[in-house]
Amino acid sequence: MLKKTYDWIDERLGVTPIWRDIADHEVPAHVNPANKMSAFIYCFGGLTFLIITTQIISGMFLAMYYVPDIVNAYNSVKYITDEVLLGQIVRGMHFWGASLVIIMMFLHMLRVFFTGSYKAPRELNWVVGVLIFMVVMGFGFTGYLLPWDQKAYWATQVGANIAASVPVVGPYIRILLVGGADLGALTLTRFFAIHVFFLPAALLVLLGLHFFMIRKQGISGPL
Amino acid sequence: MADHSNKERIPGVPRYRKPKGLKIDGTEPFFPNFLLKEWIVGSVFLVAFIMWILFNPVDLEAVADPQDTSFIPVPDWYFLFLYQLLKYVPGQVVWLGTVVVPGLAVALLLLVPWIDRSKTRHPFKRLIPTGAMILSLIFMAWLTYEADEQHKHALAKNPPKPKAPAVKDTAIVAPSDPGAKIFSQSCATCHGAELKGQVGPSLLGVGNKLKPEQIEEIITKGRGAMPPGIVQGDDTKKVAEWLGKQQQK
Amino acid sequence: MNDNNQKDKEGLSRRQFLTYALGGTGAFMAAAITMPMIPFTVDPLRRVGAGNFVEAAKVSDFEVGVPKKVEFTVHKKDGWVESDVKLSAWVLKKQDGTFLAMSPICTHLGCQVNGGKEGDYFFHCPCHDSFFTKDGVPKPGVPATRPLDTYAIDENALKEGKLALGAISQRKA
Repeated sequence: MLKKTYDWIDERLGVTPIWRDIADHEVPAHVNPANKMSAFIYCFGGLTFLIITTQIISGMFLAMYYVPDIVNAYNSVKYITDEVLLGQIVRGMHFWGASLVIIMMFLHMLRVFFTGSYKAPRELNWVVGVLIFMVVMGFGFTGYLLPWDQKAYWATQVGANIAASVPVVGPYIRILLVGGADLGALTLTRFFAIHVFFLPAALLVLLGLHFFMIRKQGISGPL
Repeated sequence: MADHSNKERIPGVPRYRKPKGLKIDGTEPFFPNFLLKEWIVGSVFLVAFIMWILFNPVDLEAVADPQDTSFIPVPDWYFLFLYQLLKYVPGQVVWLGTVVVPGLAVALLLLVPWIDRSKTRHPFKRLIPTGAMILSLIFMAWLTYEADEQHKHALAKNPPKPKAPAVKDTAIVAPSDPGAKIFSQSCATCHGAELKGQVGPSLLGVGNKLKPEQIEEIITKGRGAMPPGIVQGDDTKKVAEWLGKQQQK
Repeated sequence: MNDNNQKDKEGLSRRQFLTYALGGTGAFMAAAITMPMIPFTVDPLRRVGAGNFVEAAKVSDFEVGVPKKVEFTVHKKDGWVESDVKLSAWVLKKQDGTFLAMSPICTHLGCQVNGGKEGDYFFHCPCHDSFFTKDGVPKPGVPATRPLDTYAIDENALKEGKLALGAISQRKA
């Protein structure tokens, strides 16, 4: 039955070559930790992706309880933390995962840098990687405000003032970022929208490009 | 399966050389051989991550209070180096630290493949990029460390106010007192008709912290965003005395 | 690859074994990530159901055979929003001393029924002319087909002379 369904789909869409290409491509020995322990440095990228996956999943579930509104945001986070079953764990996953993504991504970037893997023909993938880094920093900045506690509010205040220091256009950037003259309800909804819609969309596109290029170009050879 | 690394070699990719010390020189298929190893690493990593979460519960600070300017702001740890950088940039040219330096750093990072164009890849054979990266890493680590130290120092010098004890008891003492009437006319728009606070802070349990004389002084002189003299004359005393009675659990 | 040809004694090829191991590892990771999400998601299940009883009136307030309207306030906790909801019930003390507490919401389309009518039918719904007996049973042929919903009554409080009401439930037609 399963085979028949698969054949039916395969006949129409020809999916076999796609997954065979992914499944059967040969992975060189120098990135395989089973051969040489030091090859674990090649795992950082995959681990970053693993943590990004947990971030997406835990974020989706947190959104079931969270409201981006200055009156209720704090209360809803408090409700998640104190009252919902395992809310402490799910919030912990998202909170600590945020730092872990940064750490793993940083290590991955250093691996790529020190092994010179950004060199031709992989320049574009490096650029996409740096863009992913920016997007993840954006996630960190916008997500930090969402619990609407003291730490969140004042850190974002600093961030907004930094944006305002840009010569000439700074004050306008600040207004656009904050959604008004002062940090408040509009800031929170803005940051929420950026955090859960805009940045994830950008991240998924960039990750798609990143993986496509890795598959197309292969892993850089041994040093 | 044919080894197509020879026929489909992308120009510029270094040819495969067997590193010293590598016992097995075979490649292996991505699925299932290699993926299994990756996922085992992933599982171990995930277990460690979950253990960390279990033993490090996330706290939630007090709710954001735009009036409380004594709070010492600090960004999340991965922004500390940028935050610290600003402390070394003079105020008039703050844009140097907020725009120019980070902008240059990002531009350099993006353009690395075109700056370092040599064919060699080994880090020790291209000392300039390696050295530059190590130096910037040390600089970033130092900035982060300094920011953290200075923040700790600032906290020690100016400790955060103890959290206002959460008042569970919301019963208002002596609701028929003359002070209550004045309160509902003059103060309730900001402090809430039930003392729960709106624009201004909650005054439930204010009698636990302040004496009527102190409250009177705040009313006449104002405090923070609260303008002075909203209540005038004898009424001030009546309101202050009534608020002084608000000793909730 | 010649993996597929090298079968071991049990007839399980190395490739197959690795695939099963991979499936197991993948399932483990998926479980580790999603396990906390399940209790997190089904949390509302443990909050709804056993509704708390709220004291609405005294047993001595009622006379046998005449439904009487009582109003009471329920403290409702909806996530982080707490509010007091005013509810009302028509309470009938039966001949055998048991109580029936009915919701005044018409089972047809949810209007408020009025009580105190003369004759066989004590309740009347002004919206679509449904009539109910004082036990809440609808008159045959009116739009409403189901008897008025009832509140659960706390038996223990009853012994102490208090009428405490709980969750609303439907009665069969």
